[in-house]
Amino acid sequence: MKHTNLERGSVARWLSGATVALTLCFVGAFAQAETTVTALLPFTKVDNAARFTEELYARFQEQHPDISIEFDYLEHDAYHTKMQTLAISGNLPTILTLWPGKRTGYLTDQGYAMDLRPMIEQDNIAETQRAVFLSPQGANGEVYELGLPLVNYSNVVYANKALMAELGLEYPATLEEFEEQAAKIIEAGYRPVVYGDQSAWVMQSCLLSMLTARIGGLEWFDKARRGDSASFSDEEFVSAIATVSRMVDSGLIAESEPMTTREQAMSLFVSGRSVYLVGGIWEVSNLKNALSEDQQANIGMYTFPEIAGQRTTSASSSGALNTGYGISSSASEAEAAAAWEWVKFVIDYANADLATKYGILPVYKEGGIEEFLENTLDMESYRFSSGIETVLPVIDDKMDAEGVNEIINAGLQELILGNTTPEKLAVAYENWVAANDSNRQ
Amino acid sequence: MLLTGPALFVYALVIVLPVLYSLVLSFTEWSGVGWPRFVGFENYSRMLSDPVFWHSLRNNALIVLVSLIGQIPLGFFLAYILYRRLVRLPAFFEAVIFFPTLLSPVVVGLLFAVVFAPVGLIADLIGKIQGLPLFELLIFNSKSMAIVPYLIVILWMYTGIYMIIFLANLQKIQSETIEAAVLDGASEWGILIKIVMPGQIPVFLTTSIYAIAGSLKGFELLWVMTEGGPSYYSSVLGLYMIESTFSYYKYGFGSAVAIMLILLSVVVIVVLTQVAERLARET
Repeated sequence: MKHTNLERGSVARWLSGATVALTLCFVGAFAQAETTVTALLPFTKVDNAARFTEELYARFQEQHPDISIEFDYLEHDAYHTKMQTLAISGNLPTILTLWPGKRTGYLTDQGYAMDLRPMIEQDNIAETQRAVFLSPQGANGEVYELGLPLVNYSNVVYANKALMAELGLEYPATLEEFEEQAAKIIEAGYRPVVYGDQSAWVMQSCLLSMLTARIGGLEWFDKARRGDSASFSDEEFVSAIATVSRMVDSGLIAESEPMTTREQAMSLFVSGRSVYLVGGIWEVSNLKNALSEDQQANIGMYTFPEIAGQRTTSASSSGALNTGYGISSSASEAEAAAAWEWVKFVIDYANADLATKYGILPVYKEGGIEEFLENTLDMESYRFSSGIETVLPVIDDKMDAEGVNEIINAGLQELILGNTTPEKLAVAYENWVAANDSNRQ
Repeated sequence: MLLTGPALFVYALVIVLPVLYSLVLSFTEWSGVGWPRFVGFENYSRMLSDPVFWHSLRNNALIVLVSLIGQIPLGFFLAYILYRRLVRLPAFFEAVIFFPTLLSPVVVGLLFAVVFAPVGLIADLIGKIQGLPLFELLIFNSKSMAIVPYLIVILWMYTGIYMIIFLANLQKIQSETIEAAVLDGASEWGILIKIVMPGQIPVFLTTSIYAIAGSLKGFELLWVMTEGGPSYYSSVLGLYMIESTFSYYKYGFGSAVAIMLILLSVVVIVVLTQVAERLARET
């Protein structure tokens, strides 16, 4: 009987102890997580970006225990479909992943995203971020998103320096020299350049965009975009497309390109069957996976050679600002403040070490990231990015997707196959833009 | 009527209603945000004046043709050979021919994308034989030929399913009938035409309907293999519809293409049914 009383006593003590502990946990949890916000991310949990976000969030929580963010992940295309549905039903997450260009216009143009300018001004973000990363994104100068300060350069010429040395080649200074090299390389039994244009956007994003802005100039492009005394049927755009034709004729673009996948192009390059690869800066991570450290040291990254009569410096590449975080316009004051803390944390130079750990190489106003770089290809990539003087617009980042995909992307493939002319393609695109593109509305 | 009620209700819910909804949407412009805007026949006129639509329709017609005069007759022919045991190890051949139908279209698409790639398996083989290291297979570069590799793949992949259907039906023929014909001195050709074929006409009709429906709606294998490219050279209506609807959020236009696909299926199947009925009456 005594034994039972003892048991009862210890159970009672245990229960009361557990109750106190649980209460403390709940109180602590409520005291700490005062604001909970939601975020939907356009990548899956197996993505490198997800691991970076999770580690960044763990660091964020150490500094902001009063803010909880519930992240949800979705594959890129599904993300856009779901965001549209959520917008219509009034259930958007607090934190939105937004594109600086047209991609998430269905949110920013419809008033679903908050203009961040008052907060940028209040926290003096211009002191810590380069002006290019605070560029206007809306028709009236609105800034809807801020992300890691980096430009996704879409035109990088990757060179196999070992193969170049074997063939006695130096990186060409001009397009003419590039064309002369093509003949020599083909004669030696190699492919001069690979792109991997099966998905059709590559030739436009990674080549034509750069050619257009180099040949036409930034001012002309902006005028043509708006239809302000310039258009895409102008000589500037025709000449840029004609340069693609010229590159086909000289062997710098193979006729097989429209059916060569990115994977096949990458395989031709890393296996030493092609001297050059043209692609975006994102290929660095693919090259790091495919090549050994020694082989990576043989990869050079260059801007496209000078084009006769170009209006923009050769130290230029086409590129789009990184995607970033915005805030839903339906967020409450407390939610918006919590979301803004996250946005500021993401762009903070103090987290540069974490970004570089995941192969992301931001460019900060407050300092460099060289000290965090260990990989030779990362260093080459950072050297490339730091050397860019002018960022040229990527056509599909500035113009409506349908016209770019259906007219330019498909048209460039036909051009490579010799089934259309630069003039016809330019006129067809201008007609579409004039009738449909939101830049002209 | 009362007994068929539940079935009719389910049918209306999952087939009739979505089709009607698509029909209504096809007369509107809707991006998925806000309310649809009525535009009359604009989507249809835009679709009919688009060269990509006509090229996709042409490719679909070729796919239907390959199904009707390729997969089905070949499937029947192979089934007959196996049924009459004109080869050794019929069970082995049955398994080998049927095997591709068990594979995922995505796997098959990826496999044949590599086989037919400009720098793929076939190009490598030809390059090695001819001693040309830069040899590239450029069959996709021709607007009229770009669909051919896909036609070869579907012939390889789906013939097995028709072979199995025919084989199952052939096995219903009583062996005594065939044996009697053989004893009467009938040739193999005579057995095929006079005894076997007449009983297979309804099967030909069923498989044809199945082939047409499958040919018009299929796109996943093609998407993985070519993405409809280069340009739009290997596109089909299913792909055209998907891209219009989900890439540019043109749900109205996509619905118009969907309605066109339904109409095409119905028209072709009705014509085929009438032809088959006439054929059955004559034989």
